[in-house]
Amino acid sequence: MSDAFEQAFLAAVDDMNAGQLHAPEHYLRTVPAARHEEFTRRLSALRAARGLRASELTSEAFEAALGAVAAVRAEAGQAGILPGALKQMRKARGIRPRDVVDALAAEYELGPEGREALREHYHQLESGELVGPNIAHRLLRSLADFFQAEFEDFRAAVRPTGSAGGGESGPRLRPAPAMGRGAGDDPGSAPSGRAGDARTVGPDPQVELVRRLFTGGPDA
Amino acid sequence: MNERDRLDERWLRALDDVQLEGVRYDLLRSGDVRFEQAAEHLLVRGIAHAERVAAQLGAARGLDADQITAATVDASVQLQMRLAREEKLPAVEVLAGRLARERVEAMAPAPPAPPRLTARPPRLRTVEGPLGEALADGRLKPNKGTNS
Repeated sequence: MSDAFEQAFLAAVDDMNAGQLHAPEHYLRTVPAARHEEFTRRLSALRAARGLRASELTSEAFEAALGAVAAVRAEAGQAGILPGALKQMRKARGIRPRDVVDALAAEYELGPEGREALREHYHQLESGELVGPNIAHRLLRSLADFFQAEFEDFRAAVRPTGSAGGGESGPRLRPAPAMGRGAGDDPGSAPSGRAGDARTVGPDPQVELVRRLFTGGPDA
Repeated sequence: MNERDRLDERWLRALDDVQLEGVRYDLLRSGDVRFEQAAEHLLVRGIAHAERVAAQLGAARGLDADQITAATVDASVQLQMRLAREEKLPAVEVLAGRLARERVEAMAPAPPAPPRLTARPPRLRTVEGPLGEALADGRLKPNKGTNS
């Protein structure tokens, strides 16, 4: 057996002896993916030999919580664990994305265009497409207030994790381009008007506000 | 982080909560991503405690099983974020219990299920005696509700 496999299996045996065996997913995190099936099969055989039933091992709530934090961890990236955490908290509370958008739009007094930009950016945030350290702290504070959580938790959660923390091998994500009419990729450049349009139209101030909140840096 | 960089799992498991929190904090402060391993161990211990607190307080508050599960999940995810903070944290059981209590207290008991109305069951009587025998052997046909 490989070291990781053996250690995980011994940990499971120790837990079983102590009457505290966790769900298989708890041990599988350190087992190479190629041997997950083998590990699960051996653990099942051990359980059967000891006369344990799966229902006696852990409660439904415990297993659901383990699954939720594993999902959060699996989605971690350039915006840390916040995207997954937001999704799991919404799910646990029965909150829709549009409820979050509505609350933020009301707080920042956004009109229809600003609200649409907010919807797009919030979707990007939950999808892990934004860079965590570029998110404005006032937005994190607003989100934390909405979820009745602590701002410092949210600030810590957006720190890029593991290989996503600026390594050369990971995907390099750039701040999202501004939404709305005439907005270019570079917020400092002149907006590009439509072809044939004689006037130069600047970005909607509310759209620009939303862009700064999600991609403008901690002090934006 | 590859397998060689991982901390020894058995060593981590042998640490008590305070020692484990010390390892998590030291690694995080020094920018070592292996803090995530120590945080994972603390998280699993914390989830077990959050589940117990949510179950006890939730039952006392009249929450149903789904609500208790939701409170446990919610508290666990918040604990996961808390363990990413670069500061010395209180004992994980204290944190987990506090978060679980907050989530339970934020929930209202589910309303009782409305009464399910069902049609009154038909009151049927068996036909006995010669009439019943005649019906049973087919000598007499039921009129199926029509008047004779």
